[in-house]
Amino acid sequence: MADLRTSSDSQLSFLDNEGSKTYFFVTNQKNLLSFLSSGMVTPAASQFRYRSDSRDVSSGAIPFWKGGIPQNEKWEAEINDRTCVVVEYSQDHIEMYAGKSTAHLSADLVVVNAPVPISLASSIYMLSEEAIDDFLLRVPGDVAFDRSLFSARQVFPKVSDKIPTEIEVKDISPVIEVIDSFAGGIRGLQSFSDEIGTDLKSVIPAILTFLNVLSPSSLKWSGGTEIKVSASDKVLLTALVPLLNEHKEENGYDPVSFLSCLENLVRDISGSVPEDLVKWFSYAKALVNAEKEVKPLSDQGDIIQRAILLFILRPNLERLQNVRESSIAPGQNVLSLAVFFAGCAVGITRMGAPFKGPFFSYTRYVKTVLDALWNKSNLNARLTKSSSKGRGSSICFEINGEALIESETKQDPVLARVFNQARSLGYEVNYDLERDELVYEAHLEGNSRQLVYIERLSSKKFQGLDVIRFISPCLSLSPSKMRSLKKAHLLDLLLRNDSDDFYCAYALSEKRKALVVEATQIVNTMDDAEFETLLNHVARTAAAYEPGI
Amino acid sequence: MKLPKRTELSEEQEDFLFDASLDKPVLCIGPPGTGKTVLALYRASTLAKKEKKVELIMHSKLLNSYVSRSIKELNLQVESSTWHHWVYSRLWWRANAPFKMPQLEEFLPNFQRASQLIASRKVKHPSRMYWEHLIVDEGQDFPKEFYLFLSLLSADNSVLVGRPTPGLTVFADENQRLEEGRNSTIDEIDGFLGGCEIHNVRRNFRNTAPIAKLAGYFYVGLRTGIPEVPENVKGPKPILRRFETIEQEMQSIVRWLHNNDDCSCGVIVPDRRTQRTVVDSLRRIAGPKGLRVQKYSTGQDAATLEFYQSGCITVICDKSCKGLEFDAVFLPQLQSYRTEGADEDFFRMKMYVMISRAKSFIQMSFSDCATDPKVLEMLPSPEQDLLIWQI
Repeated sequence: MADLRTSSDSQLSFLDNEGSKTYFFVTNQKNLLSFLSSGMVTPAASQFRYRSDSRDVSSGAIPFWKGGIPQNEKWEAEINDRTCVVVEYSQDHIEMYAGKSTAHLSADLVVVNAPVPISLASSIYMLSEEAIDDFLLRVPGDVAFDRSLFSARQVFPKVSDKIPTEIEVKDISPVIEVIDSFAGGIRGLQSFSDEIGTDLKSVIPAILTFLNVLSPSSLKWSGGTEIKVSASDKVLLTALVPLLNEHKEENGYDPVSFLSCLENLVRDISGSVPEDLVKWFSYAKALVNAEKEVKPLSDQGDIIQRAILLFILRPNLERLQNVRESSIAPGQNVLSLAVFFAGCAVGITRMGAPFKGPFFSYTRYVKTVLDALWNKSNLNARLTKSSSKGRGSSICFEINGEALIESETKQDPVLARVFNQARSLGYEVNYDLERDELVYEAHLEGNSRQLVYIERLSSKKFQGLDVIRFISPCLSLSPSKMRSLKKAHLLDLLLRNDSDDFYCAYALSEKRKALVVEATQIVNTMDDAEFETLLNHVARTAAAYEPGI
Repeated sequence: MKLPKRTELSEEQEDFLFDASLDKPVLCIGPPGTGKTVLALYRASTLAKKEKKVELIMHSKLLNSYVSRSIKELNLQVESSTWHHWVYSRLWWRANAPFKMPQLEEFLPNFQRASQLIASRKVKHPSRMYWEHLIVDEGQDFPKEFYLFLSLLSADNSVLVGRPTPGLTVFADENQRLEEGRNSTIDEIDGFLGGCEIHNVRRNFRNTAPIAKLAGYFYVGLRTGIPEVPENVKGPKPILRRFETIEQEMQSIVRWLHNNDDCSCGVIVPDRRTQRTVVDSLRRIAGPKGLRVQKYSTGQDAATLEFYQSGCITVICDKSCKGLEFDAVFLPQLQSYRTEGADEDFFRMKMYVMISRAKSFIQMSFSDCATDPKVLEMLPSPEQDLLIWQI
């Protein structure tokens, strides 16, 4: 396991304040691709596909030369190459990340064994404007960049090339892997926010387990939300996290061996595989071997187990993009968790362009993650929610004061349309952002009141159409009562559903723990009369319910 | 279709994309499955960003159909066509209509005669033969005289009329030559183009290690004809299954696609009779689940098919599967394969081609058999650990 604490907290102003405040790092175009991909310059061992550069002379740590480039033939030749890249940083920024992660320090050189955000680079130099244009033409689409960072420069001041023959460098790649993976998970959640909403409750246990498992740094949680996770799920999450962290996209993926590894880790953690997980593993194996057909993974039952199953079947963000339209049709919470897992598995460096977003937003985000996690002895995680005026509210998830997820909860566009339709007809409908549904209290004859909920059936569109459901509870039923309902009672409900004057249906709702009356309606074609009729009919029918048996 | 991410490209592919000159003639050599067509699309995208008008040509109609669709999906400003269309229509007819391209025989242009006509200024609008950058995929499939002809056009002032020398990139694999007389060797392409910048790609880009190893077991040609096994690329081990009935066998295919309905699925069979049986059975099972079943045979218009559409099963005969790839490949009805009297090398190469169509999953199966089909003797034994025998 990696320890996020590579040394004690940063030591400020350790560099010589005399002379130039500018530092240069000499590399090449292919390594620059990796820096742009990961959003940070890292020591060689932590970099995806390291190609030999100036880090060769400093045991893989990053050599920053003060005020210029070393004066000798090797470096002269290097910077005159079409593919040479010189990255410039200011002294303040190097100090911010190097701290005591400095492997060597002299008047002309500081060798840094730490990740340094690329967003803080003052400039990226290449030999000529032509070299820059040629490079940028060839950059694959998933690597974001901004032309304004690049400048042509051939001449640099010369500095002494003295560098110790042996520099001792601690391997920080396990820490960088954790940061890369965690940053991927959070970025995944950010990029899926339109689909999964902003309610992070279901994901928080996984986020905290991730940080707990991968770092013995002391973690404090002050989210204000009670997080209940079963003992089996705790074990499952704890076993999953290292597998996500180790996963490398370029090494392919075998769901069968992934499940075996997960099972072995569960056994290692708890001595044996808990009984409920034995069944789960057996089911998961049958699914990946296509011996059984996957059923929709809605937000019912064990969300964590369902989400891991979804991740095993769709192990990357690309495959999760349209999964709600697929046969798996996961619920929002199941999808949120699976997105976090897939984001952690792919990591930030290997993440595709649609998930990373534009260059500045992406690289700023990477800097925020580094500021939250790099070189920290304590991790203070917090989730805050605030309601804003009007119809929205906002949430903020932060670690060590760095906001990693900040978002406004938005109304579902389909429900918003129904909301406006209801209000225009004079119905005092409220939008429950937390549950993403509309709530209406119907005032019926005899001063009775009946709640009607309107929810969007978002798991699947019906032939491209948006569908909503009017739901009104008529009898509370605990899960155990629901299971013990008599056949005669159920038959009575089915017979009532068949009545000629019945335009809705009785159903058992696990979500609302109740017997409910419900009616389904296509929104695209719903006029005002249909809306009013269904709303009132569902309310009256539910209010009038009397058990027949 | 998406171009692979940088991290999905191999190191040698990345080297090609960053190191290959955009102005000089470039020749990229590699065996099948090393991602040459992907590199061709990547290069087309790079050149298009440089505001070059890029034309991409290849031999196979099927490949062209796939590439055209990819170009559209990627929103690239690139024109794709078959070699025949490009030579006869785009190059010659545009410059010299109503006079047709001289031919040695049907569909074999007489480039020598065409060159003489240009040299003697008998072509009406030679400047219309100019191209800005031409990318040739499956470059080994074209006659060497074609490359000589391109060289001639690239240097002819009546074609250039003051414009820069046209660019050329050729992707080729000597091991895949279709017909000796009509095709070119790498040396011939290089020689006729007058010294190309040469790049090599060797690593298997299509298959996982377990699939590449199983395919390699059947390969009988020169070892240079197959790509290097990507040892680090994990994937499910290929599996051999026995089923009681064909319905159960087809159900296993439909179940796999149901659980992976964002993937493409190819079912390869030995003959049209088996194809009909399999298609009928699959349609009965897949239809109610909203999964599509389509069949493809050589000669059929490839444009009517959705080869790479998710949630779709494509049933094809073994002769038509070259050049295709699917996330999962199923080889059902193994009992229908004839082994008696068949040339063993021929059978092995057929198996090699079929297996190497699979990107990440392969299942072989048989059903309705009282005894094991003979073909099983040709498969690697359980001890060889290349195939899970679940029979």
